[in-house]
Amino acid sequence: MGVCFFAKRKLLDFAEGDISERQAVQVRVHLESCPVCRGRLAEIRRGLQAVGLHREAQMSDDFWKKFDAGLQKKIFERECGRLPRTGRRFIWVAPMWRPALIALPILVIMFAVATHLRVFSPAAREEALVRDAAWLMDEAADEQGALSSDDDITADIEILYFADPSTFRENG
Amino acid sequence: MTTSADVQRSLECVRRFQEGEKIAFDELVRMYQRQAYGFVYSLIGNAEDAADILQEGFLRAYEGLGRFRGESGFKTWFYRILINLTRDMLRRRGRSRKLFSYSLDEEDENGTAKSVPDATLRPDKAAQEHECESVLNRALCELSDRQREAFSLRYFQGLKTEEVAHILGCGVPTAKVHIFRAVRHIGRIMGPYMHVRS
Repeated sequence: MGVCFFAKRKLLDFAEGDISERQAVQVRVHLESCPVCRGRLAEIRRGLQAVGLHREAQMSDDFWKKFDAGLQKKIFERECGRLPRTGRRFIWVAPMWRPALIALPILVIMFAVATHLRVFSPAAREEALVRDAAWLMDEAADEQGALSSDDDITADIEILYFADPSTFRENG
Repeated sequence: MTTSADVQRSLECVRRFQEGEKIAFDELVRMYQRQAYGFVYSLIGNAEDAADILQEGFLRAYEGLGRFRGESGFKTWFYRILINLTRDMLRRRGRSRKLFSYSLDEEDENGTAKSVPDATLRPDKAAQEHECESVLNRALCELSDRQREAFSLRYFQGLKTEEVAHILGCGVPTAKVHIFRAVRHIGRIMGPYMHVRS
């Protein structure tokens, strides 16, 4: 298997003759005993032979004249600023800041998710309920305390009034 | 094919352009437009789109040549621009396989997209050649985009595997795998026809 893998990697170089003599001998020895690699080598040789069938696209001189004229026109227009420049989509962001530009919305989303989990998770809600209940109890206790102190003041006033009603008349 | 003299000449043109001699760009266009057109055409198989991509590629090269540092050859750099433009176009078209019509022998209304038949061949031989070429084009259409790019760069443009890897933006082993699979696939499809030829 190992030998076959080596031969497979070297078959193209072998077919192109771009291989050291030592490796070529190794590949030849392997090929004698491996029909699969022999089949691969045959395919590679046919593939390389087929390269010779390729014909370059031959364009007429008229085509190239038009091409050159079009290119010159585009270069001129770009020089004069009539055409938008290519490859300048992020002109307002320097390349070194582009990762930050991508990271920023990700951080915002992560912060929003974390906040949502903290505020609306069951544990957080239970904690909030307990906190609210404690606050209500404190409020009730305070109210109760205030009421009792009001009663005390009223009682004191009544005692004073009955003791000396003239004080209240003089002071209004 | 690009010789080392061509590489030197292109780098010389780039240097002149960067020094402000804008006319040097025309020389670069003349040097590479035909083979670059053949390359783009082999990827998308449509004469009009190939011309559009090539024009846009030269335009981008014109704009970016000032920043070209010469770490690779001009051809490698320029072909990378063309590959990116081709990929963009294929993406916009939804990677439709119908795009690859390979209408080399069909003239468009301007009579521009046509291949030149080999006049030295007998008619029956020419017909056979034509059929083999059609099958080859169909086999090319069946390759994945990366395999077609790698195959075209390696064999139609005659680039080294290292250059292919650089243009494709992948490692040399990956480029080798793309080329290997493409060659095998084409050999499989072309098998019966190659027997007839030999």
